[in-house]
Amino acid sequence: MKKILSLLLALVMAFALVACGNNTSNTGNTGNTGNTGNTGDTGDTTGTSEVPDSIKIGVMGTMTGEQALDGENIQAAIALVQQELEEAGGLQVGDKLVQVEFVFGDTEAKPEQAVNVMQRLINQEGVVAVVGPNNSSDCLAAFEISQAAGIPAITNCGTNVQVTQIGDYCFRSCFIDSFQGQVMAQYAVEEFGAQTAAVLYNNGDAYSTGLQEAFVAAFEELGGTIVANEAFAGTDVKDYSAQLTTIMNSDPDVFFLPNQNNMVPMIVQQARTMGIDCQLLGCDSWDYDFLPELIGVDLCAGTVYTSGYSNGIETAQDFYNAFVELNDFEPGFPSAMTYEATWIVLNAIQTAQSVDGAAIRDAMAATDMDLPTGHFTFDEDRNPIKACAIVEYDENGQRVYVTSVEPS
Amino acid sequence: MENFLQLLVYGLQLGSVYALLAIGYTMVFGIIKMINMAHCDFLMMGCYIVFFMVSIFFGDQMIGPAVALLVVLVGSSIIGGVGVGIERIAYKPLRNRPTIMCMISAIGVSTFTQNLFRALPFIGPTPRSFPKLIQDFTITVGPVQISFARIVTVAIAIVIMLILWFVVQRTKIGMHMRAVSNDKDASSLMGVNINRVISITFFIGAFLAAVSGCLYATSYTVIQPTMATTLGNKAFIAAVVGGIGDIRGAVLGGFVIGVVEILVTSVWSDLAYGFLFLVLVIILLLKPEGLLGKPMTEKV
Amino acid sequence: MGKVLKVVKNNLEFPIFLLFFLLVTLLHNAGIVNSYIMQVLMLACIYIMMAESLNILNGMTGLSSLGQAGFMSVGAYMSAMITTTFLNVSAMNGVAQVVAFLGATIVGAIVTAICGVLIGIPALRLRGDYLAIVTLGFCEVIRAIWRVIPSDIAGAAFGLTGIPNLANFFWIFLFMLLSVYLCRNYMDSSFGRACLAIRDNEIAADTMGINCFKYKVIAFATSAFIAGLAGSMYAHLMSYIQPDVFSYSKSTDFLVYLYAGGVGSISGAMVGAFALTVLPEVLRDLENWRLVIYGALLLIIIIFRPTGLFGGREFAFLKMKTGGVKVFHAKTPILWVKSLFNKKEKKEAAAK
Repeated sequence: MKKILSLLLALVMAFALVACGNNTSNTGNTGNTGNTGNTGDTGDTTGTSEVPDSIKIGVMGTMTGEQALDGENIQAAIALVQQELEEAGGLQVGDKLVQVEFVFGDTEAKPEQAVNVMQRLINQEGVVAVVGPNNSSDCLAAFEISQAAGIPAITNCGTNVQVTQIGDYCFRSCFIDSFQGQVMAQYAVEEFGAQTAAVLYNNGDAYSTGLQEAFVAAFEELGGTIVANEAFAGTDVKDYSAQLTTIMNSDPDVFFLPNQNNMVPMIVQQARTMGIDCQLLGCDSWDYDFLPELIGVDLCAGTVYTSGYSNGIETAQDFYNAFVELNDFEPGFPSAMTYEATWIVLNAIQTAQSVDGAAIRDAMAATDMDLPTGHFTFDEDRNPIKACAIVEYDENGQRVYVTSVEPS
Repeated sequence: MENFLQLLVYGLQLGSVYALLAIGYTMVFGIIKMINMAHCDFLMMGCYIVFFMVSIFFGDQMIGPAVALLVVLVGSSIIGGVGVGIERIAYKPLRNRPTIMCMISAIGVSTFTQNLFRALPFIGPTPRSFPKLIQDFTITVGPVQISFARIVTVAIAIVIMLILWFVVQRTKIGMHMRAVSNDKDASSLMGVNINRVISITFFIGAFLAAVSGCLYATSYTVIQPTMATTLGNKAFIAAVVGGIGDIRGAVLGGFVIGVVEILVTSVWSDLAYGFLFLVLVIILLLKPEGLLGKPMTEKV
Repeated sequence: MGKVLKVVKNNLEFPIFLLFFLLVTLLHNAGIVNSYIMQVLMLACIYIMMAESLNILNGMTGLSSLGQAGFMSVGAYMSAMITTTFLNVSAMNGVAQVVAFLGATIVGAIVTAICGVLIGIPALRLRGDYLAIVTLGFCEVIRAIWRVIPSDIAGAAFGLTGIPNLANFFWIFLFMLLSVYLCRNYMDSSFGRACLAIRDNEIAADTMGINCFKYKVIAFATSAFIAGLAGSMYAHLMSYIQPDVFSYSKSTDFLVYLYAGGVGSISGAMVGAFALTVLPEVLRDLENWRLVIYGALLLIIIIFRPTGLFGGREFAFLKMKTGGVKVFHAKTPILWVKSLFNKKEKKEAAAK
């Protein structure tokens, strides 16, 4: 009897699946989450719908964990945007001033937390758009949610190609890894006349492997040879002697280090002490004002890296001065990208005169504005068409802007 | 061959850091049979306290070896005190529970301290450059390069091992420690003050963590709140490989792990990480008590 | 008819589960329970499965394992590779998707169980902390393998993207209940009794004629099987997995859930996993100080409730026949509150 009963109940549950399950599974796909919390979101996409007096924008970043530093930069950039909004009395949308509240969410650099935060921002806080997360892996997990809910999201530092391929609600304000790797390879060949190159990358990190692949492909296409392509695993390894010995024995012309900023100082120090004195090449994660000091100013002089932003860019001076005045430290790549991403969203709300997801998305795709790094537009894949800056650490440990390479 | 020698030296250098940390693990484990997951946080705290002492009292000027030693000793003693305090608050109430409870408690301590250091405004997540306590330079012996700071590390690891070996084997407190490690209740009946012995053990453990933190940071100069999370892991593995509870074993295990890591990496860097753990598994399967551990007989 | 009512009355938990499920689904569809709460709820269910799987090893058999995340990753990767790389489930119609998903889940779990046996057989030569370290070692080896498998199969370091989002609340809840009942029946069976005997004293159990090795391997396989199920659910809920998600720190998370809830008790594992998944989400408003407070609360729980949040009790619905289990009835909290007042009265009486 008991068994029959449990079987019966299981059947009823299965029916419940057919009845309700269809709805539950649909919520993941159609974008009708029922309760998105957006006032004025009633399918009215004409762009003239009234904008509420205050709106919320979500900001996701790694406030804790290994990459907590980026989180600090993101918060600083948002503080600057907030200050600018306060000075203007709010965001000018049409003929009224809208108060903008930024809601922060900590992703701990874990994709799972990123999903939770995204769900929370969209469903609990009712944000109209999301800035971040700053990490490619987090983006890949979290953007599935925002895409399904029809909320536009723009990552500040998620440089991996696949991030914006998730759907048409996914944007980014930085360039992609393949472009960055290509620019670096090109610059190495043209400027330093490099014939041979070595790479040391983290094979546990999507960002690092992405850059490594792009650089290796581009460098070989340009006629160079990769003499050493060494990997290390994860952040717990702090000793690179073995890999560096192989690299030193291969005697490369240039040495490319596509790694996160918390590993770069130690790799460079160990490489230099060991006697690798070739040209070092870096990537956008090197763009922090304290990094040269951390590495040792004399060790990193002459090192060149690519970045989506540099304090030396002419158009960035206003941003640079305002940022330093507010935050007591110099902006770097993540803060500049967050600042730009936030203004792209705010500008889109102004243009669309709506807080509807689709309207903001359309307005964002049509973004055409001046930002610290220059004039900003999106291509059809929602990636920015922007130049890649080449920056050099000089002998005083200052970041010196060298040149910009336009995308071809 | 030259290459192999050079790699061997690098391996020993790396191993010395693991060895120093492993001694702390093994001391605490030997006495109260507890895996102190917060051990690596003592290391982190030690680095920060020395960093702040140097930057407040000495600014940017270079300090001599004697002053540096004094600073490290004072800083490490403070951390030793912190260790005793943490033991009182977080581990003592759990002493009669299964030892794994202490490990869980230590995970809580670790989460708390790491995030506290990150959240405190004057520390923050920004990585800092650890002051140079030893003037580092490279010595070339034939085909092999040796860093002076690493020689100091290796020497200190061996000296500390000898001192502790002497303390444990030849002094009264050492005798108490061995007694407590053997049978807590029986030694208590024999008049050993267990609380005192455990406090002293934790003091030594935290003190060593802080000292090894300073030595570690002299070679790998970047300090940040998350610096030691996984480093502690390797050190613990080293302690187990050597035979946990045995001070000589910890040092041996540290050197073995360091050398294996470097050699495997140089052969096949892509898979080295997994290979290191495979080596660990094989060692433990062949010698279940660790390299120097004594096989334990179990009574019913 | 009376007989049916009696059976229902004796098995009240089934209607309650059904009602709970229907209620949550209805509220979700009505928009009262939003997707964020659903997400946390589903994640909590998956972690309950993981805590149960760890409970079989740590709680019942007394084998410490630090490699549970490794097992979870095998289940997650196997099932996700089947649905994403080999079958391209996204292009199928509804029913075929569900069938493929269930098939992949079962295959994933079976492969994980086989892995459990393969790892268990050599590892069981060791005991205590050495076993813990070896399982940790195997877990890291598995993670290192996922990192180097070429990207068109398992995504390498970058991870596997575009996994169809097939695990909805129904499936996760169902599999959670199934694994809880699997654990209950396991504990109540001769296997479970043997495991408990091994936990309490291995040599004595051996002397009594229990084949310790066999039962330990079975415990490893069962535990890995449940972890594989949970892994498959996780992959199809998150639609993106990456080797580093299943790192060593994930394993210690599960250990914390289990011990905070109360080791050795199925209900304790449920309560611990649920409470500690929800707690960090509740604390989100604290922003920068969130994990500081979480760590402090965790410490407080461990220090003041060393037997776990649930104190080693079992929910009445699990109906454990194994002796010595304190049962948590619906009345228990009421009795507890009453006892508080009684104490006061007694103290007052004593004062007088």
